[in-house]
Amino acid sequence: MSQSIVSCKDLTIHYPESGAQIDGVSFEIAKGECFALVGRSGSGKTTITKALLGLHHPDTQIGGQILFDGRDLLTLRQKEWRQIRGVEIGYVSQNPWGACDPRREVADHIGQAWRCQGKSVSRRQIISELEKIGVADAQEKAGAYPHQWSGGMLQRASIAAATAHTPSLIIADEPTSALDADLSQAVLSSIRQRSAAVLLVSHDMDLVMQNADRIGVLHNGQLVEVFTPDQWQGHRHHAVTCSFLDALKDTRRTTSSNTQDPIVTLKDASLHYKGSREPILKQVDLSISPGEIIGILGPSGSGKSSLLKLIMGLHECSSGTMHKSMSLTRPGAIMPIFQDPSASLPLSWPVWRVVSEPLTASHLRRSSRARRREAAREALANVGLADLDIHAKAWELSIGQKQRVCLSRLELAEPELIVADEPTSSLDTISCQQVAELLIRLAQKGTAILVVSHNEAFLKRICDRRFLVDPEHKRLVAL
Amino acid sequence: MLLRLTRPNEQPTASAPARSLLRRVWRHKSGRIGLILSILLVLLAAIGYVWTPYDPDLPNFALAMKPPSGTHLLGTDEMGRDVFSRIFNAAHRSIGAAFLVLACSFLIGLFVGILSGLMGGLVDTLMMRLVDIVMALPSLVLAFAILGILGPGFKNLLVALILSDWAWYARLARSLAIGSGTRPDILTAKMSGISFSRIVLTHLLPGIATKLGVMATLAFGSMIGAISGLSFLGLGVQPPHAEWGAMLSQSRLYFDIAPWLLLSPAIAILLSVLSANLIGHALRDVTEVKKQ
Repeated sequence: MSQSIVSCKDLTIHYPESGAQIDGVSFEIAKGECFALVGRSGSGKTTITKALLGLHHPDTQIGGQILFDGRDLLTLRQKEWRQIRGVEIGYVSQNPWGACDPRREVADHIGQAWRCQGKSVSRRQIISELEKIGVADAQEKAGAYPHQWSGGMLQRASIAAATAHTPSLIIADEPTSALDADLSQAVLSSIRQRSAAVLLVSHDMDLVMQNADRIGVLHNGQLVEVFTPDQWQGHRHHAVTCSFLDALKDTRRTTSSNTQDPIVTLKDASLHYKGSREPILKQVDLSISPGEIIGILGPSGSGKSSLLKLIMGLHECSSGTMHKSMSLTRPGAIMPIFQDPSASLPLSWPVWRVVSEPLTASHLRRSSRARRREAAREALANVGLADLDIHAKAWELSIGQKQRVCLSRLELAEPELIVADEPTSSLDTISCQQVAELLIRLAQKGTAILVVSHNEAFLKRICDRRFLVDPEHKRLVAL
Repeated sequence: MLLRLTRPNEQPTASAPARSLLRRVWRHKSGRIGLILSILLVLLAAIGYVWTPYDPDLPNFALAMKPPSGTHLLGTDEMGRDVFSRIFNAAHRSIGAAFLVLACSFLIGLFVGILSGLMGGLVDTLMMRLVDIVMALPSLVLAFAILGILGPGFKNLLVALILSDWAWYARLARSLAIGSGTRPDILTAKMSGISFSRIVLTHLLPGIATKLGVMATLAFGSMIGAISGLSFLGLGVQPPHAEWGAMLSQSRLYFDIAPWLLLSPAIAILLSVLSANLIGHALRDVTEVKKQ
């Protein structure tokens, strides 16, 4: 292997309040290499990148050694760090909008890369940087504000800023999590083009397998395995690696030919916002049968969520018809799942109370607390949370656990139809996989599921039929 | 912060005992100091209500303006009354009144705010215009005007303060309740067939009540000040009854010859305000759920 640019030896990081985060991690990144760190949320990926950028709080105890181009980064003083950050190590953050001040022009942000080093930069130079990285009509866009940019383009602009001084290493912390699949690839290619070495932090396995030269798997602060993408099949992997690789496999179930009568039928339905003449969606023809999973794909703001609300009965169609079967008229027959599991749970409640909430519905007979706890235990076991303490408060759970708690609560309502609004967008790969499996299991029991998402891979994996919202014509197109 | 923080990758296996709000405040450092202080004050007020070393209201001009001594711990005032007994006896009036006013404003505000936030439309408009009117006038001036109509007296003082204070709570409660119909947790509950009243009681009320509670405890200090101020103007507690604010304003006249008269009610007010503020801060800290 060629000379390494970063060499990390026995890195240990302790946070004073919460104990060990990183426990003896060693890795090397060679010049020209793209090294990917994957791991579940909380496994310590970001903690490592922060150490490489010298961004930890002075109280944090860091042991071991990080050699960057021959220098030990852990012994540097703040003044020396300033010569490294942005000049020799570039950083691309997860959320491009978060990285930019909304009240400043994008050109200003890119120019900052020079100004903070005490250098001057002309507007023409900024524009040429933008052009180099593939921004069309850069002249015009440079003067626009971050909110007027699309996520993919703004992420490229921040890459332009991060690579202004041609650093020898770029650290990209989940650079594509706000973007959809096509854009992710383009953004990652532009990162690779502009730097000698890349440390890519991600939980998107598809992306990592396509781009990284080597992949390190982090679990509970330890590097459990390092492998190259071509080794992924035919090798024995660590259990954690396997769970990541599983997400790559096609788990699509065999589609059963559906002969049952549809429970919801939309005919030529259109949707309007109150008081607005422009329809959000028009001429929607959709029928949903029991046991079927239907996916709806589309950009944000295209009316996907409004369609779900229509089916939930929270909106009315402004023209056309919606017919629901009699079985959907009982309370609890249509149940929603939402994007943000933290907002979907009353966070101060104990888990058993959250899960068994549907049993307190007014159309049901009152059930005792003991009975509710028992039901909660069973429902949690169904979603693979059997050993979760049912008296734990909902806010103590991880985000993936919260979404599974939401699913177990939903099961207790015994729904005929589930409408899921971006159910995986805040989850990591493994939690995403678990949710996919749970939805498939529910569908096999005869529940119809309508999922809205911008995660195409996820929809491909679980859906029987998929539709795309065409924002230009405001119509639903079958895929 | 002594509050246990969540770590996202941690499985909460250790059995978390049902922690009541009071217990979480107790675990909070400043909350604990505040609680101890307030328990002491309430205890003192309760004792002072039934027993004091001397009659707090009986003048004895032979003993006027005596400095602190073994027989009169905090000295005597211009009418020869024992200051210690008066501070003691006034505690239930000052603390109790502030508590009563805040509790009533809290309840009225909670009810009006949630009602108006949930119903919207005409009810909301009418209620909020009323709130606007109340809030447009400085609360002491409004209380002054109401007392002018009702006439002076302790009960009227309480009514006047409640009438001028509830609007702030109503406004906050409304802003928290409005739009809650589309909150994911409430929508889920609604779809699973849980009754409207149950959703309001279990999902909406606890969150709003704790936020209003924080506001009320933090307002305790200014409420004691308002009661004292109105008593000073002769609109609240009537002589010869003791009240901290009234005592403070009277002793002002003799500050150069009898400074102890000023000091004791001032410290009493300071301690009660301090305890309420410490609890208020602790309450705010422990009810803020950490989101990831």
